[in-house]
Amino acid sequence: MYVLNTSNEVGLTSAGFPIIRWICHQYHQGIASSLDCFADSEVATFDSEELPGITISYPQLAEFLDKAERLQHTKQPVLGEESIGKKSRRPTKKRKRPPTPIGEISSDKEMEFRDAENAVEGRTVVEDSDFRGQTRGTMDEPVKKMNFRKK
Amino acid sequence: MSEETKAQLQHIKDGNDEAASFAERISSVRSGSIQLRDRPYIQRQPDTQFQHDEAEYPGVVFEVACSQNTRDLRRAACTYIQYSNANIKAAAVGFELGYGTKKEARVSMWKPRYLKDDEEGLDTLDVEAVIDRDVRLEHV
Repeated sequence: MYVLNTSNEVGLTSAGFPIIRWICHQYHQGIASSLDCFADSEVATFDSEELPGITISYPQLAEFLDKAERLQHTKQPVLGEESIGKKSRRPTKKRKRPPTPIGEISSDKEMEFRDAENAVEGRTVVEDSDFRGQTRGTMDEPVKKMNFRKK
Repeated sequence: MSEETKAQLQHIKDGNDEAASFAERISSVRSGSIQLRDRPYIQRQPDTQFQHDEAEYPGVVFEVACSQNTRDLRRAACTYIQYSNANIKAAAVGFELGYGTKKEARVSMWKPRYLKDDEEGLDTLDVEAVIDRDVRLEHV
């Protein structure tokens, strides 16, 4: 359990973690999602304004962020710092893996799979009418391959 | 966040009204893949998602971004919201985690926004950040 310190006092929590100061430029309620956010309007057919929703306050978000960053720091320390994460040091030797059986895929099949892979690789983006006027590169769509071969 | 959202949903479920019966049918799907598009094939794997059992898409998704910047978070939100045709509508929430002693982290939440500027009378689906701000954590 960590303590959110709003009075700028310093010290350690009962668990020994340093008390952190929480600074937010502008206090805000936090993240609020009404109940109708959890499904489309075909399913959520009610007026959600009068119903309860989900609210996660900034102090809670700050706490979650702090935990996530501590975990990240344990897993992947900053360059130059020693990892504090514990892991099994049991000495073992790895059992040799059996080799992949040869000849399970016939050459015809292999060619078929290779052709399928090539087809996918060479696939270009089909112009999408849903995104008319969209600047390329704003979405997670693959970039269209250009053919610079001289004619 | 997932646990807190589940706890609050559970609180709503404990009631005896329309909200309770609706919340009863919402499940946490954890980190399953969401296929957003066939061609071009687009899928994303949020860290947590909440889905009503009658809905095709999760309505709310959470994604933690450890090294992404705001632009990446917006791109991710656009992908979720626009490619699902706003069926994912309580947006991607992104955390950009900071490192070092003086941490800077960013929280953003995106929701669909409809713009009525099409000559054909069709709404244009855009996204807007309802929250996009730094949360600074400073170890003392």
